[in-house]
Amino acid sequence: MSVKLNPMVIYKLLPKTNCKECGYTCMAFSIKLLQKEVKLEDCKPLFREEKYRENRIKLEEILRPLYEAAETLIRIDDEKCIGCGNCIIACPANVNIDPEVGKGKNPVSDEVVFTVVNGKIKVLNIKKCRRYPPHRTNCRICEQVCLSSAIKVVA
Amino acid sequence: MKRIENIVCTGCSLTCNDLVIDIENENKIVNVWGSCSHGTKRIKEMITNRLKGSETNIEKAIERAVEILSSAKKPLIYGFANSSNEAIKLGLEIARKINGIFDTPPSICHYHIPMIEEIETKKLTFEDVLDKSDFIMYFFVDLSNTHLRHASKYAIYPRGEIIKTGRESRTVLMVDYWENDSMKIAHHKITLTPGEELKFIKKLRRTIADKKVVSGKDVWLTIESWLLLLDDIKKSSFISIFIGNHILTNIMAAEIYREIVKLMEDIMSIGLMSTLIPLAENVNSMGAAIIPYKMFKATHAIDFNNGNPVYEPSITNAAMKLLNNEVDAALIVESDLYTHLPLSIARKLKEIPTIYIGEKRTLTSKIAKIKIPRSILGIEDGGKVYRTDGVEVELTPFINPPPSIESEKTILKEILQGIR
Repeated sequence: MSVKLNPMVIYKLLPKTNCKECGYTCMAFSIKLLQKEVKLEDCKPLFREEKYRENRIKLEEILRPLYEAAETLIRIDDEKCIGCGNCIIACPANVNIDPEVGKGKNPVSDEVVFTVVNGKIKVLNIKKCRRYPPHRTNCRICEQVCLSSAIKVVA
Repeated sequence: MKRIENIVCTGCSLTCNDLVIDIENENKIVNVWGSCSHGTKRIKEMITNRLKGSETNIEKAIERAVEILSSAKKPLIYGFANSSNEAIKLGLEIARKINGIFDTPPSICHYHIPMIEEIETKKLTFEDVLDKSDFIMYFFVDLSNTHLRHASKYAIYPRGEIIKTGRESRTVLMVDYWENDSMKIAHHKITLTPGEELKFIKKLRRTIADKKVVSGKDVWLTIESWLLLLDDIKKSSFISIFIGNHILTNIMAAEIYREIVKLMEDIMSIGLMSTLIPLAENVNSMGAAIIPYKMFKATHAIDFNNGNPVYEPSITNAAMKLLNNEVDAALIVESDLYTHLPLSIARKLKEIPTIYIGEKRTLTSKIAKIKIPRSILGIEDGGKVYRTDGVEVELTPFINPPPSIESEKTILKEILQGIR
């Protein structure tokens, strides 16, 4: 399902009873879920009660890309990547680490966030990405410049 | 494992010079850093899937090739878009010596390359675009399929000397027949219906020259979008135009490209800087046009008559000469002519004796009487090529070719010496 994940999409499918069995309200739980700080299994009524079964299946489906994505909530499709390098050059974190990248050169240093090897993106230091928790910024430049739509920010 | 830096890619005409290659056991390429999927494919797959020679040894193959070319009345010398500048000069020498026809791919497709005749003196390089250009126009280019690293290495994203913020300071206009994948990064996108190209470019020229939007309905842009486009053009100081090969007509092609050249002149006449660069397809497509142009003032389709060049592209091109049964032998250097010709003309090519020098197995190599494998340009063989903006680039080999395989320069030189 190509739904852009946001707390409201998840909240609508949760029990919305604010039972706090998980320790949070339903809205807070949906935000924590997106941050990958809690798991769907922590919502006990969703699994216990039969009336939420349909919603649970829907939630499991829409949350699958989130589980497949890295901690930065970015998913890279290797099959689609054409190695154009737009993301490498446009990435502010990459340019900050290696100023030569800003001039259009492909980075060879192991310090950068990602580079292109054998015609595909290779993530080297995910922790240096501006989207990496806990100081997560809503940076989406790599997704915006990707020509083949191989990079997707899932939430 | 050995690491070699600053390798020039030969995957397309951009010749990116920042590749890093890891080599194991002298000849095995393990990793290619920095190349796009086209470059990687060329560097990694070419070595494993190469052409096999038709003769037992290279001397015999050259001897037979010389025999065929010497006995022919009007041989065709074709290809060279994937050859070094030195090989192109040798090809021209051979054509002149045997009174043959020298032709390159622009006579069958790639109609934008002969435009160098009109833009040679005004042309700037990719480095100028990177440093100064704040408005970039792409006409009939699909960056997501052809020149993958163009936006990231030379045009939109890199930070230049004057344009210090890169993509934030550049406006992009893309014109094509359909909304291609690369239009995602454009600020102004225009999709044309085939047949409307000239009309659209004329309207754009008028808008720029008059500095006001011409009234009247059109399907390309709304009046608001025209105003925004004109506003962005007025704000800019250096407009770069890149033209590609995606043109859906061959009758009007030259006229459309000439109109784009006039557009560049219009931009210059209102006091803005401008440049026009054709984005060629193969690694030395541009060299295959520049060298004949420098030597004989003709970019392709040169018919030598007693050593004198005749340039009448509509008559002296390879396809017409084959159609009129004027060609009786062919020497093809790394180009798939047989695939690109119309069927009736391709059949005629099959009937005449053909010599193929190359590295790839193609349909042309399959129908060739004599196949001579060459060492792979940019990997096993060095030389100079012209980047698509006309800058000469030196290729350095980083792998040794197999013992029985010679470079194209050696093969062509021996053929030239052998011809009586």
